Amino acid sequence: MTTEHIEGRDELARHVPWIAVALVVAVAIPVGILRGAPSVVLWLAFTALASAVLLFWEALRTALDPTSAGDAMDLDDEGVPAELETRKKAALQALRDIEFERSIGRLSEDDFKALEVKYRDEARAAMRAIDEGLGPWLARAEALLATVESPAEPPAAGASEKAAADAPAPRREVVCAKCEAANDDDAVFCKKCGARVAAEVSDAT
Amino acid sequence: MDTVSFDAGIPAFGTGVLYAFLVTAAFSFALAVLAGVSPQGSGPRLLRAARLSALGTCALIGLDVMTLLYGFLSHDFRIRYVAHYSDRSMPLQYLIAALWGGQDGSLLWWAFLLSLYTSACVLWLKGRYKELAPWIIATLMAVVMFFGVLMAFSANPFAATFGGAPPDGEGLNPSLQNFYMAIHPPSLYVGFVGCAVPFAFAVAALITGRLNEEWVLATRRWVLFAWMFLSIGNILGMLWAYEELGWGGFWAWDPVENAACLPWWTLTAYLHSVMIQERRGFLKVWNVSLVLGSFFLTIFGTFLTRSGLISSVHAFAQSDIGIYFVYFMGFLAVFCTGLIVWRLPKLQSQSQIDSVWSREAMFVANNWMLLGICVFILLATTWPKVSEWLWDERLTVGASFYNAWLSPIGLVLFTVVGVGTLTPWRKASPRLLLEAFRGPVGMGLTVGLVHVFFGRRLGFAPVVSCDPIYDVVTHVRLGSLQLFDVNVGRSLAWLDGHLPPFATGLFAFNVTALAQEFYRGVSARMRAKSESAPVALTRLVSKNRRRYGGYIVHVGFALMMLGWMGAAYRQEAEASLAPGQTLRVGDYTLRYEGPSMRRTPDKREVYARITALRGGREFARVQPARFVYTARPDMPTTEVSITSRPAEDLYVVMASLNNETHVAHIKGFVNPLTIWIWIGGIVLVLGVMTAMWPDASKIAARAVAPKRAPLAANAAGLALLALAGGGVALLAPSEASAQSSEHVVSGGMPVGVAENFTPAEHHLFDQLLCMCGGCQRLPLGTCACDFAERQRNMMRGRLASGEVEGAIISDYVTRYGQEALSVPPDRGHNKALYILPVAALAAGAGLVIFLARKWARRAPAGEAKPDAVPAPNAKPDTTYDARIDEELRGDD
Repeated sequence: MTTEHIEGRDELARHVPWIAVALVVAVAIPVGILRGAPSVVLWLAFTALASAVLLFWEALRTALDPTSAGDAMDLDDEGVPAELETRKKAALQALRDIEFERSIGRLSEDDFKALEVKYRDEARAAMRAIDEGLGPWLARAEALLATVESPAEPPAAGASEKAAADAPAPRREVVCAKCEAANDDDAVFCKKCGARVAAEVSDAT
Repeated sequence: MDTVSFDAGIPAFGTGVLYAFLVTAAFSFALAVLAGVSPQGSGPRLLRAARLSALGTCALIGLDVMTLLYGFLSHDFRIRYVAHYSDRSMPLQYLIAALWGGQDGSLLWWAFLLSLYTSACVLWLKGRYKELAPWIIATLMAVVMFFGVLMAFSANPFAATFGGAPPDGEGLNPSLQNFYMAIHPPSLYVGFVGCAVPFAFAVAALITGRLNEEWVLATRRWVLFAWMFLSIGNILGMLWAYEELGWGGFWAWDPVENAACLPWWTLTAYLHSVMIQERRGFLKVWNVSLVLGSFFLTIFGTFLTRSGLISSVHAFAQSDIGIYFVYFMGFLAVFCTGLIVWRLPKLQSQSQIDSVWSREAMFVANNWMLLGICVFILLATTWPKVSEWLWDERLTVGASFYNAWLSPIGLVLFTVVGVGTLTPWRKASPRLLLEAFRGPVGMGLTVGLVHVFFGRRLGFAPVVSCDPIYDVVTHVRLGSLQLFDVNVGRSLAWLDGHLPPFATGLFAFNVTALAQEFYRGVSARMRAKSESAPVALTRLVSKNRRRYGGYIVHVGFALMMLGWMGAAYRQEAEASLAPGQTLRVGDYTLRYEGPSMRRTPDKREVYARITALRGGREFARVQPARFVYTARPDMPTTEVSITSRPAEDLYVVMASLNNETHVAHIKGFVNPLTIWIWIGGIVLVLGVMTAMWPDASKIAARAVAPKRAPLAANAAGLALLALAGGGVALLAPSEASAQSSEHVVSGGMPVGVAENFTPAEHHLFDQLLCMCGGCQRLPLGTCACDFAERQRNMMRGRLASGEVEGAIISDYVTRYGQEALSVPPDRGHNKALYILPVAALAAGAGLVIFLARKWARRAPAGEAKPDAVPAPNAKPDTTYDARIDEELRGDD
């Protein structure tokens, strides 16, 4: 299956709930007008039953078939210690707060200056620590990128980055040309800056 | 368990689906847990399967609700629930409302709403919070399982009628056949059940140990959504009580009303304290406990409502489901406490704030007040049962207890709210603080003083007379040393009596503070970006939605407080009037013209035509009524007539009408400022929606994951606007035309005697509760039933013949038991009822001050970073400044 196919399927899957709801409502309205409220209730009951059957069929199929694709469980922020991220966000929020309080005349200029220095230090420290923590990951991403050049096994869907790090046949990654963030090989857009990356992975199979 | 014969069609099918979704919920739960414990390997597959089967379970619950609804629409009286709560004459909207009108159905409704939340949450979860997702699904499915078990083994809504289907059903309780009753429980349930999603996130965060701000941010909108519906549900409940119960008030501190508002307090506290966690990274244990506690209280509330534990107007049914709830609550308590204790090391954090004079410290204080009020209400609501259990003494804690104690506490909270608005985040310098407080404090003092000096002339006397809820002298001793004597009841009554000027002053203080906040923000923008005032206001709010949305909520809250204060000035009068006679209440003269009557397919409507005169001129024509439903002739409803104006409502009730003489028993109330409660409620909802409204530019900027939640929030917002609009349209009392005339219940009062209660009567009637059994234990003075009227007449006679109050009360108590007293006597262990919460509040205040000072003192020392960052301050570092600036701009 090509990346485009998977993309298309995902795109469709994303809209299935809305399409289903629209269909149910579209049928319910004429039924209600022509046959009255009880018929609408029966129609809704039927759709509930039908969707329950379909959903359980798909659930059982997914659970019992070891080769079926599951939800990717790898984490967006893996590698960034959550505590550091929290501290960075809190410091940025603090800077935003004090700026706002100063603009409405709640915080004196002296207090603002003192607090600004303090929270800038905090934000800086957190950001540096994050970057340093990311260092090995960036190096690894580059190493992985090198392996992309040579044809390799298609990555097992759903394998996590951790598994990729340990396994000999790692999952391939695509580095964004614009911001150099590592993206999954099936990414169309960069997860960090949003630039298109799909064009560069036309050889994915 | 009910036996169902399998040729029974819909009942059997419904029961079958009930068992089916119980099984599939267990299946989804197992899949989710398996996915959670094995994130690698089969995890992703199992997670997908869990997600799909959770959705399937939700579809099955939907199917079950539709089956029951079809049972109602097709009048399938083989189903006991349908036979009990509907009849063939009921219109479509009440057939739908009957779904949640009774116990079994309301449990199914709970499960249904939970399934809607679960589906929304599961669809939304796809592709995000992947580590939390399995545990979220597992938690939600566990809650579904609980309700499934409850229905399958104890309260099956599809249970068959004994002895075959009756020709017609019994009909819905007439007092529930009312517009507000049709929408009040659903919106309250939406709020109640909504607490399950944040609960699931918190549990998932605790289990996975991902306890940073991730789950907090993820649940922000879910929490706001639930909070908004809790508020709407409670306000609609007040509106229902006001429109339908006919005793002139809107909040009776009925146990079920209390149960409905308990999670509101904890969730409100959470909404404030979570801002500190986002900014400071501390109070983690506190926040997670508040979310877990809110969910626990929703289950507790459902338990109170549905187990019939505490008899009240809402507890329509009694059954054995109580014990299931007790087990579940016990499990929840152990499970939640265990999780928190287990994760305590991960929840601890370095706490520090820049100053005691900061919004952070004020939020901690406000949290304490909110939680204190919650504990107060919780204790008072459960006290009668505790007392019955421990000392075998049946008691009632009536509205006067809550009103007397909570008025001063509420005003302290109101003060903290205002001070918090004016205190900046982080740090306040004395000069600027003074500048901020100058205007609002000046305004508050002015309004308060105007109230003190001119209030009487404006009809709002500064001191109102409050009857003491106790009259017992307590000797406070320390060992053998006699310290002082205190009469708690009289002191409290004195305090309450002097509160109105403080209330109006605080109202002015709060509103000025909020207005000043908007003004400052707008003028700062106008200066800095040279925008016009409207543009600046729009941008200010849209760029700081949470802050200004919150302020709008506070405006609504202030307006509601004003309305509550107005209740202190309620005036009432009652009389039995022959046509042509008049009754005076406040500035109004009510002239009774005569009865009239109308028939509809399902009921008889009996009206009293009354002309209200004000200053000698006709002011309004009002038609209070009694509706007698064909299906339940023994339960006539009271249809009050309300004429609303900004200053006061004229509220007229017809208690009874004599068939032969046309004599009507009329009660008139003048309720000052009541309309502001409803207006405040609408403002409050608009404020939450402002805070919740998704920020389009931010969504576009976040390329990490597609956000579907905003769409849902939008749709919900629109639905809500429609709801709010509908509410406004229905605020106006409906007037019906009258045609023929016939007469119902007969009254027993001497004709034409206008009865403004004398102070002595008032005092007596407020201490006793109506024990007719049918009503909801209102004070004897406010209940409109026949029993109360007879008792009042009898007691009036005894008072007139010179008997003392104490003798009358003790006779009443001898006859009807301790529970006939509206407030438990101030003696023995009953003192704990107020000493415990007041002591807790005081201790909490001390703790808050201590903690705030400790955190603030730690601040200078906290400069040294706990993490091992290499030489953070070695040289002036500018490497990251550009990035910091960029991030700040990006999120502006």
